[in-house]
Amino acid sequence: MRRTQAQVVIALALLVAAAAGGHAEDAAGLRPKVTALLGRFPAANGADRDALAAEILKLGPAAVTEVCGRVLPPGGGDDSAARFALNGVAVYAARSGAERDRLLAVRAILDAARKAADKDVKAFLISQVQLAGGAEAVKPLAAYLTDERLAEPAAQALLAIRAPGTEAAFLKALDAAPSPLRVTIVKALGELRGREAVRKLIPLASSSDDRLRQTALFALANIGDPAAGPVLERARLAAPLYERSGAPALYLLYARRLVESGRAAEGLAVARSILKYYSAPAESHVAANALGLVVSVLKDRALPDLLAVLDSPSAKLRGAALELAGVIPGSDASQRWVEKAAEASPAARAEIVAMLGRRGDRAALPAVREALRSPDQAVRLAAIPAAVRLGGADVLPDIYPFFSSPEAEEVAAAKEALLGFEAGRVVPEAARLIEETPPAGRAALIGVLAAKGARDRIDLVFAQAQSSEPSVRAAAIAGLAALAEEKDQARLLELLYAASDSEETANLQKAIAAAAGRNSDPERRADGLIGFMAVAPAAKRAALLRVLPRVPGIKALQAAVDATHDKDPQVQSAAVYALSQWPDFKAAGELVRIVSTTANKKFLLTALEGYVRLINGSDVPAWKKLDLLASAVSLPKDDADKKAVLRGIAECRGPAAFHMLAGFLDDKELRATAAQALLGMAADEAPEERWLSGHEAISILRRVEAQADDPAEKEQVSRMIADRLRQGGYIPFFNGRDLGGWKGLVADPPARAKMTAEEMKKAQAAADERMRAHWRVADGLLVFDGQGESLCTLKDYADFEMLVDWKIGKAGDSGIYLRGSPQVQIWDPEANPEGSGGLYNNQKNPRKPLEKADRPVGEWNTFRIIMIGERVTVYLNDRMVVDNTVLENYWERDKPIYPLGQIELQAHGNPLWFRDIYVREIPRDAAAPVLAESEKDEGFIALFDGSGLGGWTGDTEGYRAEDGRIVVHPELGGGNLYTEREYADFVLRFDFKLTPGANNGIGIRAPLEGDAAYAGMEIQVLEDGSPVYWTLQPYQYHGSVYGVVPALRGILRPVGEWNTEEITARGRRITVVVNGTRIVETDLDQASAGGTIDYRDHPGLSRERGHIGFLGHGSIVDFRNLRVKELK
Amino acid sequence: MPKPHRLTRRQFLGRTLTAGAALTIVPRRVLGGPGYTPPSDTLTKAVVGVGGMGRAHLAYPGAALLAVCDVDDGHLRTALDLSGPGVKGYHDFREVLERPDIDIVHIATPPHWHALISIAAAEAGKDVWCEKPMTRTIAEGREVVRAVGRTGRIFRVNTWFRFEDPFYGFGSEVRPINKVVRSGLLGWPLKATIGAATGFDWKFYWSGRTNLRPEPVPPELDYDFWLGPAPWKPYHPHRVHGTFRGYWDYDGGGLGDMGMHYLDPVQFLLGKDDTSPVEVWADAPQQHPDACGSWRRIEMRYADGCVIILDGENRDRNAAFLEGPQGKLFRGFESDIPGLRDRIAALPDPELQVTDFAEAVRTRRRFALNERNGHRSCTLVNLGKIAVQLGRPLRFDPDKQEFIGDDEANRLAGQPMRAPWHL
Repeated sequence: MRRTQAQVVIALALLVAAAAGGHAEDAAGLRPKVTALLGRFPAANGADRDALAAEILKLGPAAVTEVCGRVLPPGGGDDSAARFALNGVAVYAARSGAERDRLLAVRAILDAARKAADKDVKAFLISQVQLAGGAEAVKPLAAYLTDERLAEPAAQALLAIRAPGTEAAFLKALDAAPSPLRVTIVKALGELRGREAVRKLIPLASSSDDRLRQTALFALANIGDPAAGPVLERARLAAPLYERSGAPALYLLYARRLVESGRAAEGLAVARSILKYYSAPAESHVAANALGLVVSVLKDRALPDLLAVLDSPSAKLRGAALELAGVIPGSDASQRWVEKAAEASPAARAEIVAMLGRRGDRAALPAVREALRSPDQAVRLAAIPAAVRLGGADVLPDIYPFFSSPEAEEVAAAKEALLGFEAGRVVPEAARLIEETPPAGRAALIGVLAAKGARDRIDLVFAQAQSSEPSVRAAAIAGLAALAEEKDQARLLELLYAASDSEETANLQKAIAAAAGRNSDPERRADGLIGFMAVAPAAKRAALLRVLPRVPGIKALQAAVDATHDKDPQVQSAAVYALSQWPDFKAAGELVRIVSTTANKKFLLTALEGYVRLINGSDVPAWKKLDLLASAVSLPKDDADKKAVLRGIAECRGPAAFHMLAGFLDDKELRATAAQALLGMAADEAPEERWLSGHEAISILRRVEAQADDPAEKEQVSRMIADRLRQGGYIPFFNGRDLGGWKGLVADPPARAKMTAEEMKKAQAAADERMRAHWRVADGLLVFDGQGESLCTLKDYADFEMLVDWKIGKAGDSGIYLRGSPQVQIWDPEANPEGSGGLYNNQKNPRKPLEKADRPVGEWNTFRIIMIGERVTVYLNDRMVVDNTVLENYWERDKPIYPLGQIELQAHGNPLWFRDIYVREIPRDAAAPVLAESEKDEGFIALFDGSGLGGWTGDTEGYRAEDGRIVVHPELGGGNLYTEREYADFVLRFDFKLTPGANNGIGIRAPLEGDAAYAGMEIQVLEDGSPVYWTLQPYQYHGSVYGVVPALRGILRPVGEWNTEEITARGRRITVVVNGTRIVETDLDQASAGGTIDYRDHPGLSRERGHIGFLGHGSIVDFRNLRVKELK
Repeated sequence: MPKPHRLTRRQFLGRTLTAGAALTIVPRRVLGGPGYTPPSDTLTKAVVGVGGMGRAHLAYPGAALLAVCDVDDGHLRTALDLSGPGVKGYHDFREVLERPDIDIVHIATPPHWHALISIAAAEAGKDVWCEKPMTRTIAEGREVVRAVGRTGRIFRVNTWFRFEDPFYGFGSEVRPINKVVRSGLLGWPLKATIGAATGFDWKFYWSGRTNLRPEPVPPELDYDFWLGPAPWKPYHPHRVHGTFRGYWDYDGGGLGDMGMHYLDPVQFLLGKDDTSPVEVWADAPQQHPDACGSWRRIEMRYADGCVIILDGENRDRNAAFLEGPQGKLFRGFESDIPGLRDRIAALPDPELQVTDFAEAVRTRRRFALNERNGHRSCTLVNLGKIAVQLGRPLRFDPDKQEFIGDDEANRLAGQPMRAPWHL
């Protein structure tokens, strides 16, 4: 039997893997067991992981070896289960008191690392040894210290383990290692801090290799052996400019290590020499550092050193000394600082005074108090908080005069000082002083009264609110907001009516609302205001209305509504504004009424904006918000107003809002607003929301891109699309610059399989030459000149999803070859009315597209091609033209399509253009998971044993048990399949995998007869990312209780990948969780109160029990790992 | 004031540009008059790491920008475009630290660099404004505390909810909650629950990807330098800019991203600024050795019985934010204690902290959130990360800052660095 080249490649890869796995006969028996165990990774939690790891360890070292063998080089395929498993084994084996497990695991992993061919794989294995390794790992790890790629991970592992013999191993490797690796080893020796290394490191400290020299200096400094002192000092003096700042730090590190190892005098000498040498301001941070060491050695005896530093011109160094002053407590030391302050420069004096305040030694109070009268402002400013801190209320008489200071900073400092006291201490004097203090100080004093809650001084504050000084007025009004109560409202209103400044008006409104808010009965808060409104003239009514939203309640709302009918237009306007600002949803009805009835454009926009704001701020589910917003769009007649609604829609971030906004891209007036909102959503900093790389979102962004007029904006959108696709795992395939990633075509797959490697190489070189002659890149497009052959991807693909834009000329013909085989058809739709996209070479399966979705010749078309197993789905310009159809093998008609192969852009004798080519590889299935121990303990029972349909009834022909899965076969029936048993309250968990556009459903509490969606309940199963379904209602999306409760969209994994789902039915509550996100949580009675949202009868909602089942809809869907727990 | 997150790019650019314009130092002769700041008193700063959050740091007020630094030339170019004339670009942060005219270094690199740059900056006499999470490991945090302490530098972590802004969805600033706690009305010990019911929704976007296919390193990125102390692994764009939080080598998923924002105020409220929990436990699916995944719940208990619960799945639907034996405090300042607001209004406000970084730098006073309490709150993040990774309950000694009887946890608490980088 002939084999294709691809099959040979796979076979070879298996052989290599088997060889790496160790003893073939051991591995053969273990392999299925290990595979089954790996299928259960990642574990649901730590306990499960430990249980799984224990099972692996129980199988012995060969099992660990087998798992290690399944770790692949990066990019070599999905090996995450193996990596999860190995890490699980390492973590489990490293628990305390499990020496046998630990040794078994570590030895097996080390052994596998030794045998592994790929260095990235070795590095991963070493990193697992780092977690669990002990003394036994030292020698094997040390062997890697001379390997360029592995020295680093091995050194890190050795440093983490720190077993005896480590230093010797590093020293040995130091001699043998090539020069670049010595940095790694030297650094490790430095971190180990063994003395043995010093002798060998000293010569390296004068190496001409910069990195090695620097690292050796670090190592010597960190070890802190006196033998290295001269070397480190010399290095500091002789250091090249670039190393200037590093060298003293190392010298100081050395000094610190000396002190730590009991050589305090030697360490101190080094520190003092640094302190002296680096005292210039630009380098004083080094000196500050040394000063810290001096203090840590001398403790109390370091005071003279600290005092001396205060003469330094460097503020940084002085600051460091004052920070360190706290280390030496006591009044004697305080006294020395006071003396120092007297003779120091003004700047240093201010710093010392501030420090004395922080120090909290009352002995310094007289001096600090004296400093309040210093001629130097910096000193005075430092003295104010310091004096208060030391003297408390006693010094207040010294502080009050500062309120009359012409310096704003001194006033502010005085105010801050007062705020630290209780009200009784400061309020009387502050109030007394107000009259006689200049404006700046007066405003500050009013602020003190307000902050201290001096209600009994409110008359004084009212009087100041009429001051001619704006700053005083502002402070007084702010003070009133803090102090006023309901009974003060009349006086506040007088101020409000008289106010002309808009900021003052706003602050007064706040004050009035604050006063009303102090009434303990929320419903009576507005009473006072409403009473005033009844008697006030128009201008005053308008002013009062603006306060109402701040005092919400039914009465206030009614008053605002009444005012919309006021005769005075100014009052009407204020009333509409007030409603638009209402804080709760109660105003919504009125706002809608205004929007639908008013003839006043301004009222309409105000009310509409208010309504949108209320919707977005309400706590209804997202779909309900969108529902309300959708109806709000039709309220106004004017597009300018609709824009407000569009912006509101954008705030309901998610696929549904995205979809809704896209609906406005065809509206000439609203297009720009919609596009802006869409881009805002896609450009938001949220890093990865899967739906943004999905079919619908990308398709919408493409429309925005096509419509953009400004080339810069077009470019921006195009980059955004590329980013989102990348995040979704789509690899760009064509870089827009050259033919990187592509190769020329050599013969056909059967012919290629027969060629030797040498022949192949030669033929490929010739083919590449031909490719370069006829395919080229121009203006970011991939262009074919009409002669020559197809363009092929460098790599082979198994399952994948491909995006590609193409364009042809009149009578043009081309196609996309999948796995080296023809083809998804491209041709001139005028000459071929069936259109493009069909699987042209099929004989048994459909070959024509489902519909013609081509754009006219000369325009760009977009394919989205999904190939999983033998089946292919094609979307052309977002229309499904091939529905999950088997692609036949054209080259060898008696065989199924090859499992692997290159993708080709077909040359067919005419010019072609391609762009925006992306491929997302879809991982092939790992083994089906089985019911986990922890779930068994929880009470879950498997609904499906993985091999047959025992326990199931209904259409047992249309569903098959295959490889641990239940697979729907529409061609065999694919009707409904039910459990034989009935369930009432339960938790159902399962995995499912969808094909493009797939539709199925989970029936729950269903009878065996009738349409389960109505006679029972259907939890929808739908590939709702497919364009086929973009117009569905929210209650039809995946996970919804069909027709009754909408589900959150955008959670499904891309087509071809497994999803997990959990359905909980507990009494009237239904919860659906998909991939860890709760997408439905509902109470059936509430959801169906007043009729269901699909306006259909759902008698099944009242059923208390019934069968669980799959509701077939003619699509292929896979289910696995079905388990159920009954709730009592 | 910097506000977090969720700005659109357009808003972001607009804001950055205006703020940048305001930063220009106007010479004295132009401005004159009283109230001006003489140029010699103007604080100066450099920003290291100018992708993502780093760009926001360009415009933070308080100091004039003199230098930007990034190992990605693309980031560097963008930052230079945003920051106007007079700002110099650097590739190597060590060159920035050598400039004597820079007072403050902002660190907005990925977390695996925070400790090394913080220590180097402190050693070079710079004050530091560091992004959260403060450090990637507990050992790194301890070294930062030591270095900042012995050099007398001023340090802040870039989260601020302990002293200003309503506390995420809780609906109140921390100050009044602090008063409630100190009033003793709730009793002691307290249980703090962080989840949707209490107003704090966790970010789950940050998960890493497995099976990455290595890709060529883009020419503008110095990948080796970007990795720095982290283990060498093949390049893939998902491991770096914007998505690095999904990998244990550089950060710790949503916990690394948002943990300090949520946990620091809680630590402050519980009065635990100088200690750490004694027990930590996580309920999480098994973690990939390289890529961070999600988790369901993390619980941490202090020696006095106070408990912090991170309710990652929002299971505790009726939880109080703070619960003590005598009372509860719910989201939006609701409480089962009648008249709580009025009762605490009568209490004095807590002592003022220094919450203006420029002021802290000028007066050499410790910033409200500094290296010490910042390290303790980052330790909460790091304890959580290790508990999630190991999937078993852990005991911790808050004084020695070591795990008790768990070598492996200790190996994760202090991972070695790739040569030649060292603490």
